[in-house]
Amino acid sequence: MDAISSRFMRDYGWLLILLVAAALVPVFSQSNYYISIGINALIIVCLAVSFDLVVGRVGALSFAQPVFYGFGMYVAALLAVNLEMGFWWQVIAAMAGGMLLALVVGIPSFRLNLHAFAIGTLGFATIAHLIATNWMEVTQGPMCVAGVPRATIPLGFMEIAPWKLPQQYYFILTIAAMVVVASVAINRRKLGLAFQAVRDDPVLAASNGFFPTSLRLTAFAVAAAFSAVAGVFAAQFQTVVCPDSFSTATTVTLLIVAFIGGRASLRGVLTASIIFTVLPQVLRIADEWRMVIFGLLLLVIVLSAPDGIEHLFQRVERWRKGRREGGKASGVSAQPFAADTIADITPLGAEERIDGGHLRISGLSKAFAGVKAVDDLSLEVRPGELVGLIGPNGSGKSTTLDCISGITKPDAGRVELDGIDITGMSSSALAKRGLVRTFQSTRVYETLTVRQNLAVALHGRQSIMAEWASYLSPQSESRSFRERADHLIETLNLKHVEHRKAGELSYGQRKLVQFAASVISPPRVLLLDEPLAGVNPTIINLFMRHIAANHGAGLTIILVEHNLGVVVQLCERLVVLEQGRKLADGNPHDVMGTPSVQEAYLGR
Amino acid sequence: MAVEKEPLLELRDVHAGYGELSILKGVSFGVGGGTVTSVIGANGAGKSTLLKTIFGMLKVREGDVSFEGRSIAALGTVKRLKAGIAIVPQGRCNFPQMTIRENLEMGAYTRSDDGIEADLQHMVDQFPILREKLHLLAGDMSGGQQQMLEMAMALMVRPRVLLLDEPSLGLSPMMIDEVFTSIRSLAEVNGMAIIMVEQNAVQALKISDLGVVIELGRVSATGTGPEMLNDPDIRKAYLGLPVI
Repeated sequence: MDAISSRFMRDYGWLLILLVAAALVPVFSQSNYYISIGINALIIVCLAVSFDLVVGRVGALSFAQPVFYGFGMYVAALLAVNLEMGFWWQVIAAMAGGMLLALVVGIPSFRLNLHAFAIGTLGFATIAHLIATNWMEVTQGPMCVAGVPRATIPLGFMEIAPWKLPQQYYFILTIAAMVVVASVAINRRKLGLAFQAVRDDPVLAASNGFFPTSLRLTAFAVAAAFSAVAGVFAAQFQTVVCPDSFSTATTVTLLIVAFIGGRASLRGVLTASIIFTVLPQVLRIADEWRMVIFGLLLLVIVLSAPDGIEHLFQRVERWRKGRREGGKASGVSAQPFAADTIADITPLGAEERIDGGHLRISGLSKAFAGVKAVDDLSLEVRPGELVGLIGPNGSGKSTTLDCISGITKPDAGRVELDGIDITGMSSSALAKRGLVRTFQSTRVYETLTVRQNLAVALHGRQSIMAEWASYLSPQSESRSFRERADHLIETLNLKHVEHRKAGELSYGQRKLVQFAASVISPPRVLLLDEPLAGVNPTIINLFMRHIAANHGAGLTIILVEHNLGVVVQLCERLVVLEQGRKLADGNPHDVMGTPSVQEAYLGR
Repeated sequence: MAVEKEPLLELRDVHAGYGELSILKGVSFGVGGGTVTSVIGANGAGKSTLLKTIFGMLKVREGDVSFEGRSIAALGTVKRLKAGIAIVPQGRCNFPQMTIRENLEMGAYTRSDDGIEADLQHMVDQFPILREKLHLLAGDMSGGQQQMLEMAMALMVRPRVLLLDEPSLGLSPMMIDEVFTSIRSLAEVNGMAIIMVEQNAVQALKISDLGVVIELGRVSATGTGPEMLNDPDIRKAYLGLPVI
């Protein structure tokens, strides 16, 4: 327990210090001027943290964050003026309404791609401003909602009346602290990992069983709720609420804060929010040169830390670490492979039975720019079968896997899994059904560590219910996961890099991580697209044992691979493709002996 | 084998890395014109890092890289390319939204002479698969075909030193034979020095004059291709072959 709390203090102690410092501002400065700057800064903190949830953590640029803030203000003002509703009702209405609005905007905008989403939110922001300006009956247009009553906030045991500036400051500090805590909490839960996975590689996330759009919508809706609540709080001490609340200038501020703060970095975003709101006020001493100096300072920040302030933090950390360790440069290189030590390791999957899927492909066709990549291909793979799919480059092997796994839609034909038509199903849905693939062009979550890559893959493969039910549980590893992960990591020679980010690994190591992720939760059908390309020959032997073990346990496997030695040794059946058509199909010995195969594939 | 003379490219005690990580910790070897060198080692040993350092994508932190007797450690990638060092990076590295022809023209981007078209024709003679698809987008080709294209793109600058990061990656056996044969002839006919990183080490060593083993960021062994293929330690640790 002590270890956990001391670790928490090390990671988040700075937040507590920051909170105490912020709480002391009104104590040391009685001037209303400074306190108003503080209030302004805290509102920007709320918005910037929720903006970062969407832009930084799931990687979707949104122009709508200030709209949800303005929406919260209007909801509060209108409910107070027209219906005389109390504070807590306003909070509930603003949160629920904000999330609903986020879904209404997000669902159509996310349908296409992330650019469409950005444009969609921009359009939404414009429309919101127009409505606030022109819907006279409700919003009073440019005349603003006036006469908002001064709020009293019942807390059960006491009432707060934030009528004076310092009280308002603490009031807004409370909500800022809550937003920050919520953001930290999300980040430390499994949801945070899933967000990061979707941002790193949505295609891989989908093939791990995640529905990227649902996760992005979740982030967008939660961020909308944060901003709307901030709006309700801010409305409590304003007597008028005007269409200017929707100003796009705020979006620009948020963009700059996000940019100079650094992607998905809480400390970066907080620092940038404070710099951006406090610095212009401090510079008032420079009079008319104020904005010029401010602009120059921003430029200096951007030039010295192109990846944001977060980057500066990391540099300082590295420097301090370097000094602690006496300037010793750390380096991690692959150990020469100790082939002898792995002789007695039980291959994975040996202890369990896998219910292998039955795959039937009929009349599959797919063309790119008029060139037929797959041409009327029919193929049946029985449960537990291990089929090697070989053929010259460009013969349609990867495209076949793409069509089976829902990455591409076939032009014609049908794919069945256990008798159920799965043609055109999303790769997310197929992964949930246990149909898993690896990619030729090696996909990994680059900002996640090797272990996290495996954990995320395992999480996504659960049923939808289990996936969503466990999003708020901590990121700690379960025992069964740890055993499986340890086994894979050790036997694939990844032990020395298990805590490194996958983006720092070499090509061959990424291949291994990708393979490990594909079997971390036993699939029913496994499609391997050149898993051995770029892998050291010594490891190939281990790889083969993994495949053989999974095959032995009953897994259905299609193996696309050019390493014929491996294919012939492992597979009981070979299918040869040429120009998208099946050239041969049978046991490896017969197939390799066929003259047409020798000519097309081996050039003999 | 070429007569020992001043090597075309020489590395002396080269150190390099990313950020706080140091990957190469003192790599030294030299290669002459008309030779093929294979760099082998475990996944993550620093082989790709070595090629990137030679091409100038990473800074030489200590030591020196010299080309034709002059240090190039301070030169940027464009200058090294113009001097005659070209690289084919690992994985897909072309312009997927451009046609094959446009990609080949991009390969010659740093050139301004009028021999480009002739070289382009020469390339499609050498890689016939590209001729059929000159008007197609590179991104629509199969992985193996893109690999061929990338090699042809690098050759468009008429390099003296060609760095290949896993040229056989994703190629069918027939293509691998073809690629290795053309690598050999490129070295012999054009007098190029070719340094390649290969996991298909057995086949690579067969056509190599020199084998270099990288282990923990240092050169742990060098030797001729046949020497390497017969070394029991190397067979066991890097080639996955039984010890004879």
